[in-house]
Amino acid sequence: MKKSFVFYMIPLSLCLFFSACSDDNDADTVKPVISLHEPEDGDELRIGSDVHFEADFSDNEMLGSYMVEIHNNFDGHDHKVAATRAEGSEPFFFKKSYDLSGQRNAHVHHHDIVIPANATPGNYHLMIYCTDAAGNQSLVARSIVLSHEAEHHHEHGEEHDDEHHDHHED
Amino acid sequence: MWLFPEILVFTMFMQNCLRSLLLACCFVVTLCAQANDSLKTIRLRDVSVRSVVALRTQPVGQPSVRVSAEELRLNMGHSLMDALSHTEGVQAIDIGVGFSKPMIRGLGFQRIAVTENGVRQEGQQWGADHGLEIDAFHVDSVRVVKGPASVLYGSDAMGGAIEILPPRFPRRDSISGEVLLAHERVSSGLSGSVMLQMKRGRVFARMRYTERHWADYRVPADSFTYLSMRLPILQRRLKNTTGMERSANVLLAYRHGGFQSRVNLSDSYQKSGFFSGAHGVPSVANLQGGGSRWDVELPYSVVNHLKVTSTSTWTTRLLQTSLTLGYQVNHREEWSRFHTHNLEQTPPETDPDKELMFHLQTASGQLQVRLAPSASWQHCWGVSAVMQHNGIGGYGFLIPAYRRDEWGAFYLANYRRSSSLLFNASVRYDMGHIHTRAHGEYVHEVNRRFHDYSMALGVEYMPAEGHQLRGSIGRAFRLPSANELTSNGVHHGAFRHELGDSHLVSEQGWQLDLAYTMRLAGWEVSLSPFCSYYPHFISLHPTGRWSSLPDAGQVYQYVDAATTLAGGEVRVKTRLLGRLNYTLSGEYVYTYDHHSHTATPFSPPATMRNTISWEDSRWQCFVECQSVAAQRRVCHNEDATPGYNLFHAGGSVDFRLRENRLSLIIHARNLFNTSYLNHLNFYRKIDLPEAGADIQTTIRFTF
Repeated sequence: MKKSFVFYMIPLSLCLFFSACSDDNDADTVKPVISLHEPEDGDELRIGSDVHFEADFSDNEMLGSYMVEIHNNFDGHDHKVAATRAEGSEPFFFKKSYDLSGQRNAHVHHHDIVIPANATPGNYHLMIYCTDAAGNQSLVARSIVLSHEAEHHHEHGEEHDDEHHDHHED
Repeated sequence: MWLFPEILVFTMFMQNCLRSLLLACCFVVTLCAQANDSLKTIRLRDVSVRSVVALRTQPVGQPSVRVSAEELRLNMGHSLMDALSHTEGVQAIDIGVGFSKPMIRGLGFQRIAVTENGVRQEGQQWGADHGLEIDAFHVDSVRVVKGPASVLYGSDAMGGAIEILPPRFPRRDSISGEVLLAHERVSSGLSGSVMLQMKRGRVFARMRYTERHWADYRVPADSFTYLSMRLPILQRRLKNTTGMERSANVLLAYRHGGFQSRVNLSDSYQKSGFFSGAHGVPSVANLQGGGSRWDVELPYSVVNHLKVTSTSTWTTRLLQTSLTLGYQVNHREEWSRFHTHNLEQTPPETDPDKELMFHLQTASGQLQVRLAPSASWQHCWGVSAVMQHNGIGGYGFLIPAYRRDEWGAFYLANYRRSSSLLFNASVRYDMGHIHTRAHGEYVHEVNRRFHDYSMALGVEYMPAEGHQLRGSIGRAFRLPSANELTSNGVHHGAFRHELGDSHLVSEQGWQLDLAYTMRLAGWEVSLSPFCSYYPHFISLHPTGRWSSLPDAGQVYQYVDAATTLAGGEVRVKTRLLGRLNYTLSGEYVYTYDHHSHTATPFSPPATMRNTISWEDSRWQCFVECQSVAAQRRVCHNEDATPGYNLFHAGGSVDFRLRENRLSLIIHARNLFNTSYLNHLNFYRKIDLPEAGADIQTTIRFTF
């Protein structure tokens, strides 16, 4: 009689586990999606000109904001400053955030990133962060090169000179 | 599994039930009774006066599990926590490779107290990538207390405690020792440990030296995806995960009549590399070969933990007085080539690559008086104090220098109404003071005082022979730690800008525990559900505000968020045929953060283990299937983890030559080289698969 008790305890406890692990979250834990069109990985960007930036952001619920950051990657990932100052150039650093609230999908295109003429040429990282309204964050990292010889992306640059942001809400 | 811990130890040697009962009884008397188990306490009726020899009382009704030295040795993985994670309700948070941190019923880090010789281990508990700094081979046996234990251990034991128990005083005068060699395939790791002990008259001394070296870890994958970049894993080894560990322990004990005193000195040193792919923004260049797989390169960490503890106990017929003192120094350095998030910062003149340094000194003491005026009543009073000072260094910043003091007083009573009904009540009051220093222009000085109480009520009832019901309700609290109050910076390991809040209140919570155990006719069944609610619980939440520091993304801030945890464990053990046993164990924890409406970070997935084992006096072997369910309940910015099944097998054999014993232990994990992700791994966020097939071989010679 005691044994029969045990025999039904086993399946009972098994049920406990497998029923318990199927529920998902109440809140939004889905990250926003970044698709960065320009610049591409490995792109060379010309010192002394602006950068053609184009990306699509989307989220299952509501977007929050995005941030663009460019920092040097001269020696692996050491942000060494001292070594490059001597030549009279400054390592380029850019960081700016943009609001995307109230949108689920956004197409972004601008030329806010201007590389000054005294920027140190070399390897840089381009990081695009995006958050949604709930605080989920995604990140896309690209390796880029800053040089004096790189070609400027004219084909889009001139068309949108006066139109720095164009958000299309779907 | 906590139902008959003492007995389980002995059933490993003895199948005879009666004999093991008697042995368990002797064990209780010789090694400090913990009056919390049914069968043990039944026997204790006759020896209740002698049971005063206890050093510490376990609150009745609270689930606790004792893990014996044999179980630890058979399951010893990369660390002590690997061995303990076989206990249902206990998880190991893997912090990269080779190190892990304890988690009990979904709570970890500074919410779990680890004590050795009655003194709380003080390292950098808040740090997710910092290990335990305890020599796993030196550990004889461990007791795990599930659920709030702050009544006994003070503020940090809010989620439970892992108590490393002191070794037994040998009965006869003797000189003995142990030589141990271990190898693990997954890291090509080699460990060696030598122990020598001597008992002569009133004196007992024990010394142990352990050294462990391991190379870069193997994983069953050629590449991993991180930040939308596909990065290679050359030769299927994680670059720069190599390291070494060295520790020495000396124990001196004196016993005469009712007086006993122990002094323990230990030093543990570790140097280990950080996986190059998980430090800073990963780049292919960092992951290229070059250098031996045994060389620790930058970035790496160095930790030294020095600890001196002393316990003196004086026992008379009715009264027992004990004094525990401890002093420890935890020194941690993280080295990484100079880099900065502040473009104006230049490398320091000395040690330009020393990123972080923490120098934590802790002095602690506890005085306890126990009184057993009658066979049915036991009282215990105690006071405790902890004084802590943390110094910092290095070009980076994470937490400020601080001073922290804690004082506590407690009272605990056991009442035995009859041989089948026991009650327990305990209450504790703590005061704490934390004073952190200002650092730079962003981190301000914080000077806070906290005080709070903890309590527990427990009952234990045995309606019939072989059945036991237990229940307890308790309140626990925890003082906010320095990082929760003041941190402001980016940790390369964690990859985010963490911001403290100097106005946080202390964490508080209530927990209800129930347990039913049955042991009849070759069956052992236990069920233990629990439920806890924390009106104040400190957790890290994304703010949606962008950090002003490069490489940081959004700012995460410590906030006070109500949290609910619920779940339970189950264990069924039965004899199949002859010496063949079957064990089923499982655990589940549901976590809910009422602030973000998500799960809490690192919520353990439901886990089930099916084990078939066979043993006689010389041989022991087992096969095990570990099934881990998918974890889809995640917090913000945590990825869901798919489920998996792993198969393990192992065995041990003893050869006896007169007084000497040679044991061979083999433990094969992940037999089918399954590539899987562990939700509780700190490196889960970089999609790094866990270790593949591993064979651990241990040869132990005792004389």
